[in-house]
Amino acid sequence: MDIPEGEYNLKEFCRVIIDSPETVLSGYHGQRIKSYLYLSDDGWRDYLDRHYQTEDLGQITKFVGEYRNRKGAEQPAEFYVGEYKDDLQMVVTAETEEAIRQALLPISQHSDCLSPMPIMTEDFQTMNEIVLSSYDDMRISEFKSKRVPSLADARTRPDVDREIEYKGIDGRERLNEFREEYGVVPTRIQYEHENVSIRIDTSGKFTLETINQESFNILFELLSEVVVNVLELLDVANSIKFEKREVMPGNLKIQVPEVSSGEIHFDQQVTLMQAENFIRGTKISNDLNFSFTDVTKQAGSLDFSAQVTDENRGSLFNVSATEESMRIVPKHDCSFPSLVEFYLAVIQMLDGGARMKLYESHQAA
Amino acid sequence: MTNVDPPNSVPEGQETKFRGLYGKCVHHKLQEFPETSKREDLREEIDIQRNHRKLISYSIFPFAQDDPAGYKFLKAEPLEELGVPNFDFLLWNLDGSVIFGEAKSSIPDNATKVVNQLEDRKEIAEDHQDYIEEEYLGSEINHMEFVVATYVNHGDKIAKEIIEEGAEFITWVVDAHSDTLWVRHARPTAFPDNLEAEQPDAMLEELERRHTHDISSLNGELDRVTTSFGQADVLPTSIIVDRLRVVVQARRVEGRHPCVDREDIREYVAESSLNYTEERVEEIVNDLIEGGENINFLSEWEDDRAGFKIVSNYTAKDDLEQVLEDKWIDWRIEGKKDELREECEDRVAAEIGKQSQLSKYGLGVPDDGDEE
Repeated sequence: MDIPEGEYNLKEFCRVIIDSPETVLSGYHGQRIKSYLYLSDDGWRDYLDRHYQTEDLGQITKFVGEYRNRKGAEQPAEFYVGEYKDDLQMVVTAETEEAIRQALLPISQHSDCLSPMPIMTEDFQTMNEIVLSSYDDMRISEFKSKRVPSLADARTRPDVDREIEYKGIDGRERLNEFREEYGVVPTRIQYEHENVSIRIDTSGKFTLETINQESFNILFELLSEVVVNVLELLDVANSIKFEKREVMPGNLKIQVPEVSSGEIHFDQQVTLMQAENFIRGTKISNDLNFSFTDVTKQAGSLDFSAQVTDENRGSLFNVSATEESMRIVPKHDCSFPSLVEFYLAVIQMLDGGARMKLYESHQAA
Repeated sequence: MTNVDPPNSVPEGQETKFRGLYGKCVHHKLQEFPETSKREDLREEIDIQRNHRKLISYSIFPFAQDDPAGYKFLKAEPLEELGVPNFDFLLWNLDGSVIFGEAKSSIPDNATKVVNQLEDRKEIAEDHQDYIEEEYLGSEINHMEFVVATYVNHGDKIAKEIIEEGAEFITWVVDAHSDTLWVRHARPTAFPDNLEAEQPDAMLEELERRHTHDISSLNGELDRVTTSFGQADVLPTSIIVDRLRVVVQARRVEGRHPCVDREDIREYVAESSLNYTEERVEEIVNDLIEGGENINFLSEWEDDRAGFKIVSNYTAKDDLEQVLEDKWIDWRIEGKKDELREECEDRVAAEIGKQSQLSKYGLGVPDDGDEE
């Protein structure tokens, strides 16, 4: 990707890509833009400087990492980051999936100041409705959907937790049929239109297969729908912390704990088997690296507690779950990316309708 | 026959005989040793310890998250550094009230023993009031209360026993299934003799007074409050395998080797506990390292990259935790077998010269003559 010299902000940068794709983008993959959204905190620019070659292009920063291509040769991979909102960064690239996997995704895996932006399943439905209502003739060529009881009723075996992936020219109709029949809602979609081909998923990745004004309009319109909720999620994750406060009522300095814990509310009752599958899923995942120690679990309905380590970042927190919710108690170096990533794992692998909030102490019902 | 060196007490010329008898004794003892069930017992011991630690954690969590009636969690295992029987946790209201708490993850059928143990600990805590004021609080205590916390299925048993013994402990019960804690007391089957009231209503009121907190707002705030696991990581007097989880948590990986520095462990211990002196933290770290080396979980690493290597082919924390438990169990089992060996050595050495046949040791082993 070649960028003409200039002082860009994110909007102008996108305008350049739209107006002169042939001069801005080069090569086979230049016909395809991928955009990743990251929640960020102070220090993220320094973090980039430490791990990549960076170059400021006004409000856009170009950063270059290296990856090994299929032939084993090292190659540079180029990315551009701009601020969409405070604490929300948009990374744009035309690199291959392999280059992204090697050079971009590690950006957040070990960082205490960057995490992928998760999109809550409910917000994802809103995004889908916006696209479909704006374009009567928008086709869906591919989707992945999962059972979320609070978002859709099911006619057939509503208790079954299921995921359906579909490819075909009638995805729009199929999505509705599956929704009515099995109560599944989308978590990844590929839209197709005369001038637009765009793919979105719940982990904050947007793929524009067509580079034009319309595609970018959709991207920014969809982002504006979710931004409030994801920034709220960031606030929640940032507030979950363990501190020691010093008090001195007498002649000694005494430490007392100050814990702000989090709580993930499940949309449906979660069983021990589901929780175990979740743990197994996070262990075998290529992207996640959580380990669970000090596990206590009871058979039957869920009674589960464990110490969770984010092996990439060294963060440590305890979880204690009932059928209804999972309490998150921070312990050591518990930065927001670990918690956001854990939440993303929960909505992707355990309960698509789960919501994370700050725990407010209250009398049990 | 065995190649064991006979002790000095064995007369010259009797060494071969000693070895023969010793070998048979050991063989017999080891054959009889119920290793499988002992291993199960040890796993159960680990579970009991874990449940105990988690119960403490559940009990103190409301005081880490908030400050019900002004109380905060201050310290786990107060007075443990003095080597005296102690409570599991200490809560403190900055106005000068303290609550000592004991966690009992199960209550035996003979609950009187538990109440007696609590009474002893209460007396010790009262005897050490000056020490607690000077070393922990820096100010005077004007009110003390005592709590026994247990899981919900044991609550009635202990609460009734406390009441029937006329003791003054407040019972908290934790329902780990719903993550709730509440203050309750069971109704007694008979009124204790030492109630300062005569009419049934007044007697009930007196019981209520004894078995709930004096600060009524604390009763209200704690009654069915939600709670959680996660605040008690390091309990200095718990079994070493439970404490060595700290090493698992503090480990890092160099190349393919899980390893840890003393400083990592120290930092973790200091972070996980409240109000321990630096010296005490250092002692706990020393105990951990020594314990880890004893069971061959830790070994000094002749490498600049870290002070200690974790002896395992695994690197992930969840696998290391399993390795830790297995090593501890192996070590304990080997310890029990060593005891049997020593027993044989002592017995054979003591008897050699006096006894000529192994059957006379009462081991039920046929003597050489019988075998023919």
